[in-house]
Amino acid sequence: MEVLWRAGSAMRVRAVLDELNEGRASALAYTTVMTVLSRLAERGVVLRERSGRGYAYRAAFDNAAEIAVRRLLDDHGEAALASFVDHVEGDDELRARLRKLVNDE
Amino acid sequence: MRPGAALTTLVVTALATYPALVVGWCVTGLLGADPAARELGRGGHPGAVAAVVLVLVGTVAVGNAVWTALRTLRQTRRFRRWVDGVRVGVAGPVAAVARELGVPGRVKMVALDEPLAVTAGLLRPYIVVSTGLLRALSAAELHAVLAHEQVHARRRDPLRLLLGQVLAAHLWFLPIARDVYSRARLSYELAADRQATYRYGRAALAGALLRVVSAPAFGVPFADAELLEARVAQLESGRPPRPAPVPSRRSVLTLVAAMGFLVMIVSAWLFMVLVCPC
Repeated sequence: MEVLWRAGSAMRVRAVLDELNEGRASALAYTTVMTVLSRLAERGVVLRERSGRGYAYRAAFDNAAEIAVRRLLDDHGEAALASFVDHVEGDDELRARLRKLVNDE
Repeated sequence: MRPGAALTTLVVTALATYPALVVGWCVTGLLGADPAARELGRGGHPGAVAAVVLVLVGTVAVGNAVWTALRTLRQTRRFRRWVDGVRVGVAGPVAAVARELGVPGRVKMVALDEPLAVTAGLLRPYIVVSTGLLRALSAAELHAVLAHEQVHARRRDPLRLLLGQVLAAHLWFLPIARDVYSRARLSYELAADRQATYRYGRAALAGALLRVVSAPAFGVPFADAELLEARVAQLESGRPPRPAPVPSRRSVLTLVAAMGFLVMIVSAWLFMVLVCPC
């Protein structure tokens, strides 16, 4: 996550691996990093985008606190918290309908 | 649906399982203590089998409910610790709206770039808003969001949600219990939206929803599109939308489970009458 935050843009697995292995005594394997990144993508902590024939990964949130609160709201928070919005990606159709409501008044 | 009806359904259903569980526990107790009962039970009497199944179902139900309650309480405490860690002074405009809505002192502000508005706290609910929310919204939209959260706080919705979650876990053997819980949750959101719209108008609430769902920090799809869909539909029509029907497979499975449960109760009851020394 630190590497992705520093980069501030999408990175391919190879680039993340190189960064991590810099100055490391025992190098991490490509597959290890790939597995971790795809797990993080499944949990919504990083975003995966197509890049050439493979994928590039980008941090979905700016810092650890945002991840913590996001996960709190997503995983278990629902029982004890009433959040204004926990579905945070309205699809385009819903957004268009909301825009219409705002403009109609 | 009236907010509260779904939760009442869960409470009544969960309570209704207890007589069955008591019969199950009595019969298994008899099977353990009474030689005649044990003899019949060894013969594979259907009533004895039913009682054992009821006890197993009941034990899982109670265990599940307790575990869910503990997990949720732990999460709530964690959330509170997080809030206290990143808490900042309540900004002037937020404090002013809080006073207007009659919840001064109930609003906490946290330093977080993403727009966040949450009501938490079980006995003394409090509203958490982020600095990012204040930046993202216009004055009218901020009013609408806080009015929405104020309804959650006034009705103690976090506590209702905890109860709903625990009861749905207790009723694990009825597949639509989760749907009923979701419906309860939906009804609270819709009720809070209606109040916010009534006070500050449709455009303010729609604008707030629009800004929060299109915030750039969020690019990740999360579950529960249905909830947002229903809220937008209510804003458009001014009436709560008809709830989406429960998938028929889950309804059928629930019906089968409920019938099975009834048959087992009757069977275990008859067995109890047969062998009870009292």
